[in-house]
Amino acid sequence: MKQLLILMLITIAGAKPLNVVTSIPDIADMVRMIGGNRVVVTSLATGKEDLHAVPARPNFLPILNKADLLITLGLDAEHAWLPALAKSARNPKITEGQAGWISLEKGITVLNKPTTIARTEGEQHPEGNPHFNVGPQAGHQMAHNIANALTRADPAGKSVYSAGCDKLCEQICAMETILAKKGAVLKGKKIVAYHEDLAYLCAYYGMIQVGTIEVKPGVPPTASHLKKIEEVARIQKADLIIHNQSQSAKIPKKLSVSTSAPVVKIANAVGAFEGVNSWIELQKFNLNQLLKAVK
Amino acid sequence: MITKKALLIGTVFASTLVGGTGESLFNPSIGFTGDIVTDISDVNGQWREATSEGIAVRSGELILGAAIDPYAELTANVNFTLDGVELHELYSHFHSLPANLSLKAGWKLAQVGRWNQFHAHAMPFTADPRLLIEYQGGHFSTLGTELSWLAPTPFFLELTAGVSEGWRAHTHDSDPSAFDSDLDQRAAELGLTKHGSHWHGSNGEIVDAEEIQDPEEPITTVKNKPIGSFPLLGRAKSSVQFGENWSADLGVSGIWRKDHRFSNRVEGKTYSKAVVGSDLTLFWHPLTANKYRNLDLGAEWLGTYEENELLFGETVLQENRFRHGVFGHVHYRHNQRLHFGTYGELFQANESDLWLKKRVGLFTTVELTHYQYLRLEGSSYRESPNIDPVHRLTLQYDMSIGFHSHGTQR
Repeated sequence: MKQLLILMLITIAGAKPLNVVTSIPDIADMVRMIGGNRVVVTSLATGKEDLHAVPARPNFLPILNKADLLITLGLDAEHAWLPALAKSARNPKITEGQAGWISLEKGITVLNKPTTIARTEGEQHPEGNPHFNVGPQAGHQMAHNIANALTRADPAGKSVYSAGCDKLCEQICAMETILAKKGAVLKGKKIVAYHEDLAYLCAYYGMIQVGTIEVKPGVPPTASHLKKIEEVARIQKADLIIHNQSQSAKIPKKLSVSTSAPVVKIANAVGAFEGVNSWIELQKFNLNQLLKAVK
Repeated sequence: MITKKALLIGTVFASTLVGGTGESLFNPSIGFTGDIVTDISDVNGQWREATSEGIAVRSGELILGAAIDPYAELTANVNFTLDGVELHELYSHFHSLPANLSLKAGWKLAQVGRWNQFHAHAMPFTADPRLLIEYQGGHFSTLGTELSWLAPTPFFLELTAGVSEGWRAHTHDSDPSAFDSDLDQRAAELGLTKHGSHWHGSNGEIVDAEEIQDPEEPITTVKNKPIGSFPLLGRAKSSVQFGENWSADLGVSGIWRKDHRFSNRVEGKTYSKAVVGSDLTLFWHPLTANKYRNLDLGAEWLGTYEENELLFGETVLQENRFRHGVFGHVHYRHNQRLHFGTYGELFQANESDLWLKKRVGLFTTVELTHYQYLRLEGSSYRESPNIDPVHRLTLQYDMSIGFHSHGTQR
């Protein structure tokens, strides 16, 4: 009887799903697709926030306290709010540098690696641009990195994670075909970005960024900088002024009036707008927003 | 937005990119914050003459922090002023003990109240609430240990208990005072009028200094400290979410010291002191606009219970005092550069529960970037019912580089 009870307890313990916490909903969506019933996923950010300015709420602590894995984009994307929270959560396995803290940048071709590191250059990401979730090209690698992380944490689920990853990659391939076809018209379009968060989107569609509304990353615009960027946009004949849901629309609109370039509001994460419920939907949504403005 | 701490970590990474040595990666995180203020006030009230306390370097904080080993981190905060250097904080933090516990040991700002844990430069206004200075002596610091437990509940609940070696509190602020000395202040509060080296009462009688102060009054320190003089402290804090954009932090705290004062008249007699408080802060952080627009408003109530000695002729009596008051604030960030707000406080004076001290202020802050700001504040402080309130205009300039240990405050 006692042995049976122990066996039942082990079975129950074995069936307990992996508790995965993610920094943003893009990663949560992929974890859900790959892990299926073997995982329970919670995203800390809703996707509406600026990735660097997610309000660090105390109520994140009980969530992090119970996490088996904490999956982040990496490249210091979440450094403004997540490491300190993870440290306060009394869960040593998910603090930065430990096995349960997962960064997804491994294997991704990182853009904008700074050649000069200095405080005068604004709020730099010394290892490169962390906004790879905004562009479509990192999807496969993100999926594989997630599947590997889940397998390391739960080796018994290897086949489930492998199958989930294959299925997701198939869907990404199908998405890429559509994006490549529809997005071809964007090649060579000149854009003004609000922040340095469009590098991957531009690289994928062949768009050229001619300037940013921010003086330097994280440094708010000044009147003289706006005057300069207006001039640059006019001389370079900028086609689009792009900002996301978490950036003030006021300045892009003003710039649009003086340069005649239309404003495009994109989503920088899943959940940013209603209907953008998956990473694949995010890519399609952003392409549609760009195409609407180009037409 | 990247915190100062994040920027420093970035710099550490950077050293590897530009060919830094492995040794540099083992160096602690470093930060420095400068806090400078200047003011104009009408402290010589009756003539409305503008005076200034000059330019004060309130603090130059050098902050160091690093993991000691896999179990704990060390944080040190050294404060430089024009008058010298003092150690502000030096503690180790065992952040992941079993059973959801964490332990801080050393010398640090105590986890009591809301504003107690903020350094002056991290507050949205220029100076400490006077309520804190009145009842605690300023920011109460623990020289001892604090044990915190994160409750395994679906919502945030943290309980902290601590013990400190003594009643230690500090402030960087000074108010332009109408009084030349504590004796003058006490005399004014008793309604006496100064005349050379003595005072006159309401009937014209002469009052000497000895009659104003008690030379045998109980003392607060002794050489060999009894265990009862170690203050005990505790705090419970929680947070509630209202939809996506609103949340509230709330807490209750207390500090209690059994043997706070020692009688000089009755051998072995001691008098206790306690400070209790509760605080509620409401946050509006609209998710899509949080980077450039948000609001916080709150109130902190503090009460102090003190036993003291009272002389009635030759008879020594015990006096039990309870005083309380409240500090409230509103702080609105309008865009990435501009913040403004107001505060007010009303509290019973330590000297008499019949006298209320009142202070109100308006402030506005212009941030050049996240790392430096200029703040202008106008305030009015009525310290005593017998003197005019002091109106003051304060200009504060702050700048920070590198790591800072207050990264998780909100």
